[in-house]
Formats: sequence, C-alpha cells, structure tokens
Amino acid sequence: MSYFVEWGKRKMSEETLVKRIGKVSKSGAGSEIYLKDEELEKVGIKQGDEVSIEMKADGTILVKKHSPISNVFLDFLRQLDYGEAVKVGDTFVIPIFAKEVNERDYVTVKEAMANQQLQIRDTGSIDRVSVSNIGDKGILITQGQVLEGSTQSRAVVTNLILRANESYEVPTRCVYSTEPIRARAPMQFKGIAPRQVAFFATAPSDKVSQGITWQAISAFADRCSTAQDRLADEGFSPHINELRMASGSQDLAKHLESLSSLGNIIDEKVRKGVKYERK
Amino acid sequence: MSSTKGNRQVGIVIIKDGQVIGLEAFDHPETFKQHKDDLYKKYALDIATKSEKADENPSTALAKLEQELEQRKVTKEQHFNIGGENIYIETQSLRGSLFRRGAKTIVTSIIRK
Repeated sequence: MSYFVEWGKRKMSEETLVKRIGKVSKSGAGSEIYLKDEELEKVGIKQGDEVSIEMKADGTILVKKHSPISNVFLDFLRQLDYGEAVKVGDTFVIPIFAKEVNERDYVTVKEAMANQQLQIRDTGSIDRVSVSNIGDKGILITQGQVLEGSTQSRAVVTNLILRANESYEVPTRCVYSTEPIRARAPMQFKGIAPRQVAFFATAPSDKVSQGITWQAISAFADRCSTAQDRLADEGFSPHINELRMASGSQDLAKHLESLSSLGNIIDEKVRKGVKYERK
Repeated sequence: MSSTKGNRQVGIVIIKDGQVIGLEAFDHPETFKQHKDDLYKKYALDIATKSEKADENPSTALAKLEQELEQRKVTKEQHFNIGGENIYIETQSLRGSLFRRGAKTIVTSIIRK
C-alpha cells in the first residue's frame, strides 16, 4: 500500500525530510527510519513501521509503507518445500521444490539468446549496459549475470523482467578491470558470478564501490590458484587445473569458463549423491 | 535428488561450515533448470574445497538462517524496478534479494559474504 503525504511544494533535502517525519538511526552503511509524526499516523503509518521514501520533482513526498523486509524473506523461506540434503565433498546441497507450478509468462536469458530475442550493447558507461527485447515475451534477467564482449565485462546489479519490445539501460558493475570500455560493442551473457564476487558485485550502489568488486575478483582468483591444496574430494582434482590456469586473469568471464568442468562434476555428484542421514 | 519430485525442483540451498552460504530459488522448475549449471558454478569453489568445521545437521543451518534474517541490521528497498519489485535484505554477513510481481516471488537469492 502506498501513501502520498503532502509536505508542501518546496523541495527538501533528505536530511530535512528525515528530521521532519521522524528520527533516523544509522547502522553500518545504511539506515532505518522509524516514524512518529502524527500526520502520518492519520493515514495509517505508525511509529516503528518501515517505509520507503521518495521525493518527487514537484516536491511531493511519496511515503510507501510495506511489511518489514525481514518478514518478506522469512515468509518466503517458511513456505518452501525442502528436499533431503545430499553431501558433496564437505558441503550439503538441499533441493527446493515448488508446491504448485503455474504457467510462466517470461523466458530466461538463455532461452532468449537461443531465440535471438535479446540484444545487448555497451553504453560506454561503466555502470550501464543497454538490453533490448525484440521478442514477444518478457525476459528474466537476474542479478549477478555476467556479460562479455569486446569491451569491459560487466555483472548485472539487479533483477528485472525486460518486457517485450522494450529496451533499458540496466545497472552493472565492471568485472574486468584491465580492458578498455567500448561504446556500442555487442555483448552476450556468459553465466552467473561466483558467490565470492556476487556478494559485492550485486550490492546496491550505495553499499559497495566499483573498486571493491575488482578486489573481490582478485581475491577469488587467489583462492582459485590455491584450491588444489584444499580439495574436499580427490574427485575434484582433474577439474581444478583449469581454475588455476585462469587465476592470473582479472576478467571474471574467463573464470566462468574455467568453472564449467567443475560445475558439471558437481551436478553429477549431486544427482548421484547419498542422502544425508543424521548420525 | 528425489526422482518423484525432481521435475518440480525450483532451487537449491548450499550449506558449508554449519551455515547456509547460499539459497537460490525461482518460481518455476523450467527457470531453475535453465539456471542450474550456472548456480553450481557459482558455488563450485565452495563445494570443491574443504570445510573448516565438522559436520552439523543441515536442518540446524536452515533454522540459523531464519534467526539471522530476523535479527537483520540493515534493510534496503531497491528503486530500480523493471517488470517487478526488487527487495533487498542485508545482515552483517548475508545479502539477499527477492524479485516479485504482486504477491508472486519470481527469484530469490541469499548469499553469505
């Protein structure tokens, strides 16, 4: 549910706005806002409610009330149907099953690329890539997807469904520090960023700088170079060499190529794996 | 994985060192199928390397994840909403995103630092 609250037509800074409608408690890099203003209570927003605030160009302030964000995630997790855990190396993999399956009205990036429905071009800006859907179904683009071309490789920062016959410039982070950027260079999806990089590459822009994403890629490359010494299962050994060979590269797309063989053997081990029995 | 349920699989949870290091879920089995290879690559380095802690009941790790999310310190709503709504959650060591259209969640990802 959304509420529009008129505070007058003059523009206010976020700092002024926060003083006017409540208090803000800083915590780490972000902030939580707790309302206490009587005027907001009149429209059903109570002290302690979480809201999002947006200032419009005309000075109107949009205050959007929503369920506590943690509840959105917890409600989602609690309605999942978890399967039995399978142990692979030292790691447990638990499948999640749908309780009911409805029709999809979108396609994935892989399906769109196979159907030549998706066109991607570099904008020339490090933080944006242009995507165009020339098909008749929406395309689901998920955060952490890595784009490659004859320009800087990028990771998509956010999730979106690109509607049929529409184009957008999607927010990205560079995941190849040493390659120059080339505007209008065609690009294609290459896979999903590894966890160690995705944590930073997909963070909201006010939380993580571009430099931290590059540092995460370097740290990931270092871990790849020493993985052979820390194998959880000797069966992984033949598939680690490619990782070590790619570890000198600062291009995340190259690392994704080197992970293919390891990914395949993990998939096989999960499918054939022994289900966990509590000791 | 259970063959009777396999065609309804929509996601995975990855548990290592007694804690959830990743949870990835979609709204449709075909969407998961299309992403599955990439998701195993996303966690390949974690799965291939040794754990630092002894085995723990994986159910305990799922319960711990819920506790961590309940005690979250920072939340953020994303304003880049194309074709749906992005919601973010962040704790000291977890970052989660949930993309939904109306009441329907299309994709969820929770990853540990």
